[in-house]
Amino acid sequence: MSAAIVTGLGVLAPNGAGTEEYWKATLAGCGGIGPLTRFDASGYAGGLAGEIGFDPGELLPRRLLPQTDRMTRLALVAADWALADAGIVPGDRPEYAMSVATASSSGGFEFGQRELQRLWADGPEHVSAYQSFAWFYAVNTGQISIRHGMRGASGVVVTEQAGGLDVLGQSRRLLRRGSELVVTGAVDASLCPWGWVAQLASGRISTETRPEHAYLPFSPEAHGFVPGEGGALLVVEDEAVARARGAAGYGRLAGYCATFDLPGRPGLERAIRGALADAGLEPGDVGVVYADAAGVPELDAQEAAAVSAVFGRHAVPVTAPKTMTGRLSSGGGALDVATALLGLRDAVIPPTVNVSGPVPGYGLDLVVGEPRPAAVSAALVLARGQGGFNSAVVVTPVRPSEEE
Amino acid sequence: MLTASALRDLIVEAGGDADGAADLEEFLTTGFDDLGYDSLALLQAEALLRTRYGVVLPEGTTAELACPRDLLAAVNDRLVPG
Repeated sequence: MSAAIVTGLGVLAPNGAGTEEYWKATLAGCGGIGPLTRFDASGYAGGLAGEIGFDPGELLPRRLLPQTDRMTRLALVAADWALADAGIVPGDRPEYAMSVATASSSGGFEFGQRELQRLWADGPEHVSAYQSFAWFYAVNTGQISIRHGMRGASGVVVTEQAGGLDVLGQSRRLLRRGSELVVTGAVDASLCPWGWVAQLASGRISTETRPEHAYLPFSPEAHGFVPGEGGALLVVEDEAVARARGAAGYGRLAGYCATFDLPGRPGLERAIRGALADAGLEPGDVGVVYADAAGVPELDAQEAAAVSAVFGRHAVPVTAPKTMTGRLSSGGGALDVATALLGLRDAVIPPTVNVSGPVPGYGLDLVVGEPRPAAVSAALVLARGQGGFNSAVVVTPVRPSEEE
Repeated sequence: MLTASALRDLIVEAGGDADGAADLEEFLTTGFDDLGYDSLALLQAEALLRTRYGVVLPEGTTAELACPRDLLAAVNDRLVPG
């Protein structure tokens, strides 16, 4: 295969439904974090979330509603948008050359909770037959595959927040094995009591009630994060195939690496170095880092140390636009890659909001408050998943004049 | 006695809207495959018939039925014995 390029984006984020709406809000620093409304959260710790304020079911055939969790409906809408953006008509392509690979952190928790409540309250005969798959991690992949007749090798990656990047690595593998295009990325949504207590168990959820003070990664006042729902689906294609049909593309998936933490030895720095090596780039080639931005002091310090070790102190702009959306589980990494591609396109670095500045000792050049104009030739996106997952992706602009 | 329109409502609740077949008579006589209902949709419809109407169809019954009218007959045979 030639390079893997991203030719379509479908963004569903708490601060914008649709790629351009999201991008406009993000550059304006408009956040989507607010009080949880999807269920009565008054009996739980926390209470803020990044919610998507529209019903994806309205954009789908009603046939699909009895069998889909909210996260799947969001994913189906995002996939529709990504394919339309890429100019792909699935029926015109060889069905076995189209793959689907998504990431998921929790599966369909809202659907699953409802059916488990029926099981306990009314008995097994009251549980929906669709519970057999609607809760399942791989269900977004399956439903996208069925809806668009994409019968190539497909799958799901489950590595919590890192999954949104790991699945892009997986999409590259699928292209190498012969697929022409992959619908990939991740959309997660588990803003229901079951999903919420699962998140609370991490001990990393902010209990602050003021949205602008709740998620402050790298700040001296960092004290946890705000969860959100949504993410991004991307169409990734073999560059030669995309070029042949005249698609320009947003950028290349130039590098990818995943590592696992060892006891007492965080693995993020190794992931960064691995992704740069995979892309054939030096640290000085990277013009911006989209941080994982855990919002937990110990984890922020680890990330800052990894970035400084590779790039030097204050040597590369770092940003965390997820301060506007909250952390979206596996959707977060995919959304950050979409954001990085839009930043490459428009020669700008979107801001980190609500943070006045990083802990001085971190040595970070954090882009705060306002977007920063910057024509960069490579962007690095980082994501860490709870349990020790680290992933890094490098994206670079597509330059049509370049020879392969 | 289960009416045709109550059965349609139940099937739609179980498996979502049918493909085409806006008219009740057309719905009743169109094959489940053509209506877009797969085996899980029928399994779910069977479960609703059991919990709402107390009708227990022998295992595998729906797989052998061609269209909603056949299902209606099978259900009403059990609701009104003889």
